[in-house]
Formats: sequence, C-alpha cells, structure tokens
Amino acid sequence: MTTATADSRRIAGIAQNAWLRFALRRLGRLLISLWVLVTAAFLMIHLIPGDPVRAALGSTAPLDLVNARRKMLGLDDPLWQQYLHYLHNLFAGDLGTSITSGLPVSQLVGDRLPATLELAGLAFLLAVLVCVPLGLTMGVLTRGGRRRPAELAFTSTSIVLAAVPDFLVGVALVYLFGVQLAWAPVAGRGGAGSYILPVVSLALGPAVVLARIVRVETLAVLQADYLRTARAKRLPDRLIYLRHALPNALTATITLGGLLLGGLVAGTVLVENVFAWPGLGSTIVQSILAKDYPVVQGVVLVYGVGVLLINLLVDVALALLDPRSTIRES
Amino acid sequence: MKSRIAVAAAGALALTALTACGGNSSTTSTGDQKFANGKTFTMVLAADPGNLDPHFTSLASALATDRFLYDSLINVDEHGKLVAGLAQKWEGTTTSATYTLRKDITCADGTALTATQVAANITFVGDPKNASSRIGVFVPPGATAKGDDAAGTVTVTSPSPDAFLARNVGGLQIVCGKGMANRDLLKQGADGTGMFTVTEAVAGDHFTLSRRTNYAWGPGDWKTDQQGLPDKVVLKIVTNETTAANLLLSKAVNAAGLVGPDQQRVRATKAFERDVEAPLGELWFNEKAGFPGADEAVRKALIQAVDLKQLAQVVSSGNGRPATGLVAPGGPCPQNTVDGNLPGNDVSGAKAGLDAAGWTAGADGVRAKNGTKLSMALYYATSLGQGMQAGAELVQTFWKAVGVDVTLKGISDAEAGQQIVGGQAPWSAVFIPLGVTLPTELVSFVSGPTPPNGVNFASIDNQGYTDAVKAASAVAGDGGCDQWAAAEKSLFQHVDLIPFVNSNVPLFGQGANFELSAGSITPGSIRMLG
Repeated sequence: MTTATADSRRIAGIAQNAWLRFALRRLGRLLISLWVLVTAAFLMIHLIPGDPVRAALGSTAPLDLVNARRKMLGLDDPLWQQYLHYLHNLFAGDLGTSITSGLPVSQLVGDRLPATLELAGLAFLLAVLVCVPLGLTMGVLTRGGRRRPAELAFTSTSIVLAAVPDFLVGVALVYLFGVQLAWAPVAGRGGAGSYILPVVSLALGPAVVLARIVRVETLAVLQADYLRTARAKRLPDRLIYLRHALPNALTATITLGGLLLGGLVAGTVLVENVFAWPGLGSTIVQSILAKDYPVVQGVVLVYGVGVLLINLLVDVALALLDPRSTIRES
Repeated sequence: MKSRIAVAAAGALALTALTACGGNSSTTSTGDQKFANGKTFTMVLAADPGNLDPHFTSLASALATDRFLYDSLINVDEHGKLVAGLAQKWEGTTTSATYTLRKDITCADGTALTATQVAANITFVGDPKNASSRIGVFVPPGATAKGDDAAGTVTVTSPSPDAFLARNVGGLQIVCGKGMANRDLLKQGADGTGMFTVTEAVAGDHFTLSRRTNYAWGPGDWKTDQQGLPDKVVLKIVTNETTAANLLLSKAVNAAGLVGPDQQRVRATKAFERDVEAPLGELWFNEKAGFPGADEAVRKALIQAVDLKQLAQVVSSGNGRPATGLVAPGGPCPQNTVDGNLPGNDVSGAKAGLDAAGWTAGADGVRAKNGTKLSMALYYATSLGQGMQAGAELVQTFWKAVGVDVTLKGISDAEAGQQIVGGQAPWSAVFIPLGVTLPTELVSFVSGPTPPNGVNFASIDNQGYTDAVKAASAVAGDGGCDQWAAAEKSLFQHVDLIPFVNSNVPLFGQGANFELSAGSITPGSIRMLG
C-alpha cells in the first residue's frame, strides 16, 4: 500500500517534472523565435530603400522640417544604435509612434487587433463546425471504396473551392448578396449582419481543405482493428463513428487547423480590404509601403506572438491527446 | 491600392490642400430636388486619417476631415476665388499681412475666439522648434503674429518675403485655446471653430460628427437658416475603391471619390459629380554634370521624339485633361503656361538634334559620344496607377527609336522621397507629379541648392526662371502673376521639365449635393436631398 502510494507519488513527480521541462523548453524556444522574428523584421524594413519621413510629410515639405523630423525620430543614428534603442523601448513596453499617422503604435494595434481576431476566430470556428461533420460523413459514406462518384464529386468540388482566393469569394458574395439582392451590407463592421459575408469568404477555403483531411483520416481509421472489434461488438453506429473513430481522425486535423488559424490571423488582409473591415491587416500593408518602421515592427511582433502561441498550443494539445506522440520529449 | 492614387494624385502630393477644382461637372439628373433637414451625410475617406491635429498632419484624408472641424482665416471657393472665413477683410504685402476677424466667432465649447488666440496659432506654426508640418506650407519659417483683441485684428510679420503671404497664412486652420494647450485632445478629437464637432471616433473605421447649430461664419456670405444642412456627418474609412463604389451604388454612403475604373460604373448611373483637376504627368530630366540631360539640345531632342498627346492618353488612362501649367488649376494665377511652349513631336528633328549634339549612332542602334553610350534610367512612381508604368514603357519605345538605351525603374512614394528628391539614385529622367498649389512652392524645387542641401533634385539652373521669380516675388498677391507665368514658360522653353497631362478625379454624390474647393468637399456646401 505504502509502496503503491510512494510509487504513484514518485510517478506523479516525474510526470510533473517532464511537463515542466517540456514547458520550459518550449517557452525558451518561443522567446528565441520571437527575438529572431523581431530582428528580421527590423532589418528588413530598415534595409529597404526609401525615406518614410519624406513620404509622411510629402514631397513639397521644406527640407529643414524633414531633417528636423528625421532627427527627432532618431533615424540619423547608425543602424545598430537604432536596433538597441528599439529593443530597450520594447522591454520598457513602448512600441513607438507611427511616422505616418502620429498615433502611438500600441493604440493603433489595440484598436484594430480585436476586429481582426474576431474575423479570424469566427472564420476558424465556422470552418471547424463545417469540416468535421462534412469530412466524417463523406469518410463514412465513401469508406472501403463505396460510392466512387460521390468521392469524385467531393474531391473535385473541394479542391476547386479551396483554390479560389478568399478575396475573390468575398467580391463574388458582395456582388451577389450585397449589391444585387441587398440581403447583406456591402461593407463595414457594424451589426451581426455585417459579419456574415466576410466570415463566409474567409472560412470557405479552410473548411473544405480540413474536410478533405478529416475524410482521409477517417478512411484510415475505419480500417483499423479496434474499429472491427467495435463493429463485432454490435455497437450502434453513432458510438462507433463519434466515440471511436472521430477522436483518432482529428490528430492531423488539429495540426493543420492550427497552422490555418495562424495563417488566417495574418491573412485577413485582402478580405479586410474588400469589406472595409477596420482590422490590422490593412494597417500593416499600408505601413510597409510607407516604410512606417514602428508600426511594421509592432504588428510583426503581435502577429509573430500569435502564430507562435498557436503552434505551441497545437503541440500541447497533440501531446495531451495522443499518448503515442513523442512531442513531449521534443 | 487605387484609393491611394486618389489621395496621391488629388491631394497627397499637393499637401497644402489648396488645389481648387477646375473641371466642369455633370449635374444630377433631376432639376428641382427638395432639400431635407435633419439627415446624416456619409462620406468615404480613402485612407485612415490617423492623427487629426491640423498642425501636425500631412495626410490628405486628415486634412479633408479637419475641414469639417476647423476654420481658416480665408476660404477658397469652388471657382478658386478667395472668400471670407474667420477673417472678414484682409490685406498684405510680401512681408506683412493684416486680417480683420468677424464678430462673434465661438469655439466648440462656447468660448469666444480672440485675435490673440489666432495669433498664437500662427506664431506656434511659424516657430521651427515646434516642427509643425504646416511650416513653410501655410506659415513661413520665423513668421510671428500679434493680435489686437479690442480691434479684432491679427497682424503677421514674416522675416523672408512671400509673394502670397496673406493667402498662405489665411489657409492655416485655427485651433482653439484648449487644443493649443493640450495637443493630445486633437489626436482623435477636435477643438476648433468648425461647423461640426467629433462625437465618436472608432479607430480605423469611422468618425461621427455633429453639427453646431450656432455656426454662423461659413465661407463667403453664409446664412444660418439654410435648408438641407446635415445634422450628422459620418466619415467612413474605405480603402478599396470597388467597395466604395458599391457602397455608393447601394446608397449606403452619400459621397465617394473614385480614381480607377469604378468611376465608369458609377458615372453610367448619372450620379451627381464634381471633379478635381491636378497635375499628373510631369517629365523631369537630371541636369547634373555627367548625365545626358545636362545638355539642353539633348533634352529638346528627347521631347521631340515623344508624342506628348499619346503619352497623355496613356498615363491618364484616357481620363486626363491637357496640362495647363505646373500649378494646379484653381490657384491665384489663371494663365495657361503650357500651350505653344513645348517642343512639338518631330522624330527626324530629334535625330538631327542628337547628331548635332555629338551623339552619333552606333552599330547596335544605340548612340554614343566619346565612347560613352547614351543610356538613361527612367524612373516612375508606382503608386499612381497602371498608367504611369504604361507611359514609361511608351517613352522607352519612343526613345529607343532615336537610339537611346532606356532602363525603367518603378519606385514607391517612400523611395521617391529618398532616391529622387534626396538625390541618391542615378536617375536620368523621372515621371513625378509635383503637385503645387502656388508658384512660390515650386521655387526651391527648380532652382537653388541641390541635394543634400536643398530640394532642387534635377539640378536645374535656369537664369530666365530665377530672374522672373525675383521680379515676381517683389509683388504681393496676383499682381505678380505675369512674372510667375514668364518664369514657368522659361522652364518649358529650356526643356527643364515638361508637364503633359492633368488628372481628373471625380467625386460622386448620392442623395446629396456639394461643392469642392481645395481638392475636397466644402463642408458648408453640403445639402441633403429629400
């Protein structure tokens, strides 16, 4: 009895340690990746030729003003000095002020990030809600080579829908439902109705891609031995498919879904442009073109943190869900 | 993308925002429409205005927004004439100007606007230490102002002479006392004497403004009991032009400016239209020693080799108007300085000119002189639409036909500032529309010190221009217009720079009428239709 409790306590201790070590390893990796990202963004935006001050003030601005503004922003210092200055400010929590618009970067990001997150989050949710039932149903219907026409129809339709870019889908939906039928607002972020078209155009591609993955995984899982056992035990269909097949089919889906979510957050740019959505995507494009260093660095940092965190969460989820996974040791 | 062209072509490169609309306009379909009171006017802004502080912004969308919130001493009407603003009367010489304020002007919080406050505005902007973006644009550096509250006059003195001093300082937007003391209030809000105040600012999305009912000092002779004034104004930020056109057609907005192909779609519905005309196509030559453009004979030959009419069509995508000069239409001087002063299209003359200048044709078709080939790098701005690139390729074809080896390079606005105006790139010719609203703004760009000490980026040294400018600068106001025109003509006769097309940017209206001045909507002219 005492040995058992001592053993279980020891096992618990080791397990805790393993998780702790995993967490520390991953955190360290996250910080290093973040540092590389920030440095790369800093170097890239500074080394592209162009003068943001003159672009911000206009070609007809007097030369003295341009020089004074440049000095005030510290852009006359050597590159390494500007880099150290930037890191110093970053640790102090100061993301700088936009050169073009004169507003603090933290305010710019804080105002616009929720809109982008809403769009990406809702689109991801919709994609998942659509892909799991769709993929599972198609997997069950076409298992073991049944219904070849249905399989062909599904694979070809889904690849066509996945290949169409999201902004084109958006434009088509706007033309049909916004301008011609007037069922949904054309643009802008307002009431619940204004979310429909942008979310659908963002979610369509990822939903069908994930549905294909779920179908293929389901097909593989349905061939497994334990599922044959489940059938032999005459379990009802819903238990077989939902309880036994689905969770094991979701491993690859979770991985890909995480990647897609990261891509969605950073990839809402074009849809935001089409629907005049006040998000972060359009901000970063304008800032890169105008060489607005503080804004670009701030937004890259935010996106980078988001994507890296999502990848970390996916790894943790997989390590927890799949006991065979060796992610815990990596 | 194209929406930034609206900003760039119509206003961003002419950032003093005094470009008046010069084009004619197609009016709305119905003749007598009733005005409706109490409505909301929704307008599209092509870009996020950012910081709304009128003394620290240069963005065209911010300046368009500030027109609703602030007033200036003098206004420009839709015909380019100066009319009363905050000042009833004004007069000026090249070094001093006096303004007599109207009576009973109040700020948004109800306090009266005093002459001292107006003078404080002008002195603030004129002090280089404050690094206001409006210095040199509205107020000459070092200018100071004094206000006499009892008489209601403001006197401005400038250390350096400015031929259009009264007009320039009259264009500065006046901020009230609270805003001058705490500039943070002005970033996403306003403290001014304008017709509207900010009630809601949603970052990156829209601004909601509401009208002040006691506003009585609009442009010209303004009456407070006008019909059809909007009670609320919503400024929506829509960067995509197709979306803006869709919003206009679905009647979700009342006004939108369209540069690109969407304008055809809206024009087909016979919507209300007003146009802004601004210089779009200007070809500059690098006259620094060592570049082919340094020789006037070569410059003349190169222009003779180009069919300017065809180039104008291509660059403006068919929507342009013939160039009238280097200053945007609607400025103080109405003279057309271009007609008859540019070299005509004459390809054989071009070839003869190049031969005479010593550039003889080589075996590979490229001319050479003393062993160096005639090769030129032609730069063009990429933010102004496909027309610019197409135009650059057309010029490359024309010049190749006379034996020049041309390489093309597209640059963004940010690069243009450093590489062209900053003088870092080895350019031989460039398409840059330097949109200026007054002849005085041009002087430092076509004469005087070269980069890095100045902005005469083409290294132009034209004695005829400098002499005419000297004569013109001594005269205050429109009196010097003949000399200014002579100065520009001298630039064209020596082929220093060639303007060949003006852009025509339409602003469409839906359910409302308005007039344009200085390149954007005059807030006092908006009338909602019932």
